[in-house]
Amino acid sequence: MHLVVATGIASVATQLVLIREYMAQFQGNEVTIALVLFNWLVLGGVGTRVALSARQAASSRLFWLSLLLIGLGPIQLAAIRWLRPLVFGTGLSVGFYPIFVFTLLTMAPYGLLVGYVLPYSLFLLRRQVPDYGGTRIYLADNLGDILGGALFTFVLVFWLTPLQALPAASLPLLAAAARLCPGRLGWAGLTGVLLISLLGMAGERASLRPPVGRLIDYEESRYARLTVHQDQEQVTLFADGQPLAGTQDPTLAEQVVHYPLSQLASPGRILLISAQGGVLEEIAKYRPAVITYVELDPAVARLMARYGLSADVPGLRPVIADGREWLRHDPQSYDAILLNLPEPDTFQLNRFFTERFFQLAARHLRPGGVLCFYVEGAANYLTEPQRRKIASLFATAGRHFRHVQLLPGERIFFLCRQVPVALDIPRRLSRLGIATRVVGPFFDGDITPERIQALMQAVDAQAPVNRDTRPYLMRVAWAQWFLKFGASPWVFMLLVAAALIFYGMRLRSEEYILFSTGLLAMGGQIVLIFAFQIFLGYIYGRIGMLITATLAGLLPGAWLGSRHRRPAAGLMAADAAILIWLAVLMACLHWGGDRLPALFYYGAGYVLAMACGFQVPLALARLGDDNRAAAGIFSVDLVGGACGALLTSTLLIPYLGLGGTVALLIVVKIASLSLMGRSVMTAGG
Amino acid sequence: MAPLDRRTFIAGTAAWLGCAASAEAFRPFGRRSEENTAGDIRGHIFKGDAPAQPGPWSHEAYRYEKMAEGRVVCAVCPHRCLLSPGDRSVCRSKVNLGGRLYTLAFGNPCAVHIDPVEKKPLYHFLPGIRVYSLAAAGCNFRCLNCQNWEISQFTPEQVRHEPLAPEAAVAAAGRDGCRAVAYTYSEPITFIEYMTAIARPAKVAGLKNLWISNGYINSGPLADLCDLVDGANINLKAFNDDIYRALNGGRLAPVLETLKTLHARKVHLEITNLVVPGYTDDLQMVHAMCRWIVENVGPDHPLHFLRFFPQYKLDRLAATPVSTLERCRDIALAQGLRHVYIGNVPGHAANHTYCHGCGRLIIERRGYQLPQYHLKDDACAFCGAKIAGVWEEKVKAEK
Repeated sequence: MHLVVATGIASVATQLVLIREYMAQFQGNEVTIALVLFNWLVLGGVGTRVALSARQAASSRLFWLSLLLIGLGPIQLAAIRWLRPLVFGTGLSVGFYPIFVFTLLTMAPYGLLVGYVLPYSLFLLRRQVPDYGGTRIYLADNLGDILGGALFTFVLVFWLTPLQALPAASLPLLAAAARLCPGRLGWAGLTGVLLISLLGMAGERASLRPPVGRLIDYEESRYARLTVHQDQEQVTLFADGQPLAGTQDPTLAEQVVHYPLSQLASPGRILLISAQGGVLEEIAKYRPAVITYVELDPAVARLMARYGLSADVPGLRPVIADGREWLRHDPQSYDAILLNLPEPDTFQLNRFFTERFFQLAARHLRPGGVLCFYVEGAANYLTEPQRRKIASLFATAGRHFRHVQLLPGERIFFLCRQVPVALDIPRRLSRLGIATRVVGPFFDGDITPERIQALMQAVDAQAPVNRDTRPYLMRVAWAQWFLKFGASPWVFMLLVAAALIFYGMRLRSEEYILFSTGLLAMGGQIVLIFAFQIFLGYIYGRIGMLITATLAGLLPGAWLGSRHRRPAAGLMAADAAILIWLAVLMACLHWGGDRLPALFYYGAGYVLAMACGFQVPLALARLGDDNRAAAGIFSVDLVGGACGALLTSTLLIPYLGLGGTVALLIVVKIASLSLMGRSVMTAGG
Repeated sequence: MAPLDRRTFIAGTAAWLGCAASAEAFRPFGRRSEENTAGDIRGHIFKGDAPAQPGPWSHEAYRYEKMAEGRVVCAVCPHRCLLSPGDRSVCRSKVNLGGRLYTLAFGNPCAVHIDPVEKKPLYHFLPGIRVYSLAAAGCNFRCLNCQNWEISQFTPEQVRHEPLAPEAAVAAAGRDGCRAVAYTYSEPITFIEYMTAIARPAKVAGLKNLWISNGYINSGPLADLCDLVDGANINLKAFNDDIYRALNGGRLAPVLETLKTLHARKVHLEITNLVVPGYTDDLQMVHAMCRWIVENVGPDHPLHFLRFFPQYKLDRLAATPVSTLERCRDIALAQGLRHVYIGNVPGHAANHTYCHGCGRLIIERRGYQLPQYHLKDDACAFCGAKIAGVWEEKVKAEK
């Protein structure tokens, strides 16, 4: 039993480490997270099914399986880092399918094994106590998951690097496994695993060696992996493998500052949300009284300052906060608000490009003030998704600004004001006596009237508005991502749909209930996380708290379920409760929005998980709780979760929005409830 | 659900592990990282991807060979695509329709802009003039760092375009005050029929023709182009065939032949080399490249070392350090090249033109502006050394 809890702790910590690792190695967007979760849960589900083939469970074998789990974590992580450049090449991004195959294959050993160990532990316990309840294993596993999640989220991530965190999270498992140690060979195995872990702990930096130049600094911040590379004299800060800021590129810094500030006679108060190398120095040329610089990640601000990517200029007021959340509570108004953010291709970033944000920005601008933001453009031609993105942003910003001027280029700049935007920027800079290396000398050749006109003609004010709860831009961003890599998501989606239909046809009604519950638990959790960060900001600790609260609900739910005497009625009651929960959530998100306190989200996550956890022992009781039923139920729960993760974040929210997603989850649950009702009636009660 | 038996599980797991451990299993997706030389990303023929019949922008291709069973071989570039009826070429622009080769990129440019000539970059060709620049979709390369992948990696049917007949393009160029027409952005070799159809009347109208290209073309079509083109910038992407195959999907030798031909035919030629960290920043390779240039096409053709910025699929690398570019330039100058520039580094002193005779600054560039211009009769105003290039008194007077 201890071993099951310890396995839960180690496996959840490993899962979280792997998600972060894959985000650092690939695209750091929700598609990657969804793919990793999907693969993890499917592999776990397959491993659980495979466990049925274990004819005679033995403690010595469980010992070796546990050791393998402990050793596999660091080996797998090192293998990911080693294989990534070997397989895909230096400095290259890859598309959806390579990410899918790579993550599936590289996490397969651990994922399959961890799925296998849970029912195997149950079978072993049942050899000693034949009527040992599957619910108890489920409870123990959930307890481990909660502890593992909390340990990683609130402790390990702050103090340890990934290759250190994995062995640390595996210590309880090591201790539990030691109690099953079969003899001298077992102790040798334990020693071997310890050595592998120690070797891994020492090899963190070596395994992060950049393809070009050398690694001069490294930090696992709460939000991303930050590495600082030096090549010759050039220092570049990378976040999750992508260059964030460099010491030698004045172009972006000049554009992001001088396009908007040249519009103003004398900007006194400037709000800068995130920064590039050199931005602060460029702003300082205008001698503003106050520059409020808001950065989400304190580690980014620290490293930028340490390596000369940001300067301590007069009037600078640094703030560590979520920019949007901070602006919501800020009583000040500004002459200019400059957004210096990466492409809005994640939900987290999309929040800075929605109607509600533009409304917030407009409210915080002084008369004549300017909001400036930019997105990826193209040297000479906009793809259709790019054009749709620009058009949507134009339409969205246009709802709160009378004048939205676009400036073409490899980055398209949006200058938003209530008064007209001037385009004689080099002349204005000249009058202000501000020297530039890029904007002044290159503007007339790059930003020609013909290019401006062509860009303005490509957009239309009737394009769909990008909203918090209906993030149109996410759809477009993902279309662009697939276009870039010449792939289509539909092949994958069709395959998943076909596999699901095949899978669903083989499920019993109780299994379907748990499948839909798993789907809903994960889907509901994702809806809550996205809604939380949209309305309350992306604050690491609070998101961690939300996930922990959601996990924590499973435990009392399962405990209550194990005490319920009427499985069929209980299952249906829980389904009904989930339906009510979904309806309440939909109403609250629609009418409440950002007026809901954080406690609401924690409570909602807890209640959802409780209802889902409640159903597991009831389904087990209804199916007989033999080994086959237990393994089957654990498996469908995991596969349902996998589908929930994938569908909700990659398809439902971008296409249907938060409300539509919840509505669809309601449909899934209604189907589950009616299926169960029919099953009960067929069985005569 | 039926459980898997143990044997299947063990075999399956072993297969997963085997695949994960072996980089070879991922070969379709990638390349070796250590030396960045293995692999070949050359494009492939698109079987059965041609439209059913010629459309409004179709035009019979001008150089191809007919084979048995309705097959054709495109003779424009070294890929020499062998297309069965219904197939589409590597460059995505040519299709075999009923045993005849058609281009689908004729009169339908997807990008038309007016640029300063320095943007091409062409620094020794009528500095300061405005250039009518156009492109149709398609490319015979697959560069991982393509700056114009939005048009180069798509078919002509997949992109928005504007109808622009050759004569209309010439008229528009003149109307917009352009002194030249540039075939640029994507790869003009893939729309060579359209390019030549514009170039001929452009030449008659007194406009210059500028060809901005990867130079991956066969000798026959190149010879024809030399009759029409006044200036060319050839992107010599690397001086290593393995890198060409792995980074660009092409081969080195044909590009070198193009440089030699352009030099022999006295077409104004400038060479661009993008210095990509970890790929083309090997100084020994740069040394060999510069030596080859001096020995084969002489020291006078301007060479531009361009700074790489993360682009397209190659977006997880830092930009090229400026000192690396400076080292490349030093190597080139030491090899005897007379005009070596550093591009994509605003404000760098190596953006200006210096006299190879006296070392004085003769053309100062601030962005696209030319604050100083000291050329007289195609020669340095200070020491009289002849400066290779296409200069013009009238243009100089406008500076």
